[in-house]
Amino acid sequence: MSSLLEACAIGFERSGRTVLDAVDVQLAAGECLGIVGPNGAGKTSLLRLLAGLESADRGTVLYEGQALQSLGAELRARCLGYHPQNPELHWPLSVSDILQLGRLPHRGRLTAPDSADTAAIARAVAMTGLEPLLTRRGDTLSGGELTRVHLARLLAGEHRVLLADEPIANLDPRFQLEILGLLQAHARLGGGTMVVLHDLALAARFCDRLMLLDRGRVELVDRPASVLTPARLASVFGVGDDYHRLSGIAAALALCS
Amino acid sequence: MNSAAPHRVYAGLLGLCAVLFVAALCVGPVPVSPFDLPRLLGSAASDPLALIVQEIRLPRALLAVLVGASLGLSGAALQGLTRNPLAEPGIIGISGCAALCAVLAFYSGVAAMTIWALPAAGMLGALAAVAGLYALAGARASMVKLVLAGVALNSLAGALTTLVLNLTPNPFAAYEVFFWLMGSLANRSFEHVWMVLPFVVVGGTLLLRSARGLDALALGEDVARSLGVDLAGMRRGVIVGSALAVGSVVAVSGVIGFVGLVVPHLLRPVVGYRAGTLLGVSACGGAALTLAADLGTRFVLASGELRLGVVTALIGAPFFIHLVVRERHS
Repeated sequence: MSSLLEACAIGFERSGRTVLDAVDVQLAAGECLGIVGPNGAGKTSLLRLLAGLESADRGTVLYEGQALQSLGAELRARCLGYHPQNPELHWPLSVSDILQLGRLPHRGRLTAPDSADTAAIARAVAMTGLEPLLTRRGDTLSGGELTRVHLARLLAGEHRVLLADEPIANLDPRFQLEILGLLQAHARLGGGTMVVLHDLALAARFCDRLMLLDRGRVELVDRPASVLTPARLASVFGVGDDYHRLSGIAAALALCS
Repeated sequence: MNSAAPHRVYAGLLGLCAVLFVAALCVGPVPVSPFDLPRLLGSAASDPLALIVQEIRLPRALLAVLVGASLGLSGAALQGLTRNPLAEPGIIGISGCAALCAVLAFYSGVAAMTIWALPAAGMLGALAAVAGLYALAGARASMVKLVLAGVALNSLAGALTTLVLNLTPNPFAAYEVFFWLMGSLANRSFEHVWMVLPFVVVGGTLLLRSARGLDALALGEDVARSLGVDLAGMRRGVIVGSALAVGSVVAVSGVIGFVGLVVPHLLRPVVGYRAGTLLGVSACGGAALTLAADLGTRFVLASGELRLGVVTALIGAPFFIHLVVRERHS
């Protein structure tokens, strides 16, 4: 498989502190890659670098073998979709207006939405089950509902690669499963998904491979069963030996094997 | 509240502007019938009534449109950029610095030498404000830093303006400056219209070009950039555009506050809170409000005229208090 998005020897510093050090990762087409690691490991920084929102101090990010910086903002916006850890909504836009914003990379400066835009938004709405909320104003939604709207905005953009930072943090179990299912399905259709997750059991269940980050360094990139061993959980996350069993990771791994 | 389609909002506001514009040509110490306007505007300016309409009321109404549109447009753009509904051209120091430089032109006597000195000084002040903003906050400043730098700059400009007034040896010059600071469109000619028009057009174009980026900015800076918005370029466009449009109109009209605050706030729900769509709509609304307020100045006092800046402040200040109180309750 050729790699869709690739980080090569990334180094990143913030106010004199090394956030990422010599990070290598490759996202293949068709792959759903999970990024896991303790707080402060550099997961969000890595995702922002891959999305082109920060530039690395060392190393490069490649999209289909081409330097991301040379891609140009508009092409990059069509190729890469980004869902931030804390989605913001500064004006009480209607849900349908928020979804329209997801189509910006595909629209000319002054052109009205065309049939492709309408169709993409309709698909995103159907996938996320947002039909009942379409006419609501953003500020009248619950936190979880708003997260689903932001994710539908991401899906409406029809990007090749989706980069999602903690997309399921405040969702009900049902929507956690549905959203991760959608991100996984996006990869299955030939795109690529990179998702930062704190729930290791769900990461084991939905991701093809996991990247374990610890204090800015890559501990391991491998299949979930090889990454999430009781010994490694104890050394990296500092949890007891029984966490593997009690947190449902063991069950999730058994389900997928 | 459901948002109306933008073209219907535009139609309503432009209709309102047209009615107010006609009223601005007709109302005054010498009333003119609207039905006589085509004849008076078409005839040679030998007829005294035609002279009043063509040389006094027409430039004044056109200036009201230019001033109001500039203030409404840049208010909407600055609020979209800072995502702060209380931001206004005044807040980031553009009006204050433009006024300071115009006052300096009065005080130094430069303004008496050529009619161009005043707008040049206003634009210089506005551009100095922009340069000061960049020096204080940096080109990649966060929105909070930008507003903080603007507030600091504005206080400095206000203090220096008062200092200049304080030091003026000639009480008549101080009197002139004092009244100019209140803002007015009275006794302006076509010369003033041509003076500000190019800057309002260029500045306004820069501001309108930010529409798409401002729409996306509703989802935060990271998402806007991930959607292909050139955030630094947009910020530059809004600040320089505001400096050109607001700097030039402040030099001609004096300080007319609150138009940039009230108009975008009233129209925001009408366009469904879309910051980009709000731009053009606010330009029309600003023109309408300024035309109406300028008409108001001609009614209230039997002897002499109220100052336009006083009228907009009388409308705007209670509105500002209302906004603060509502913010506290929500």
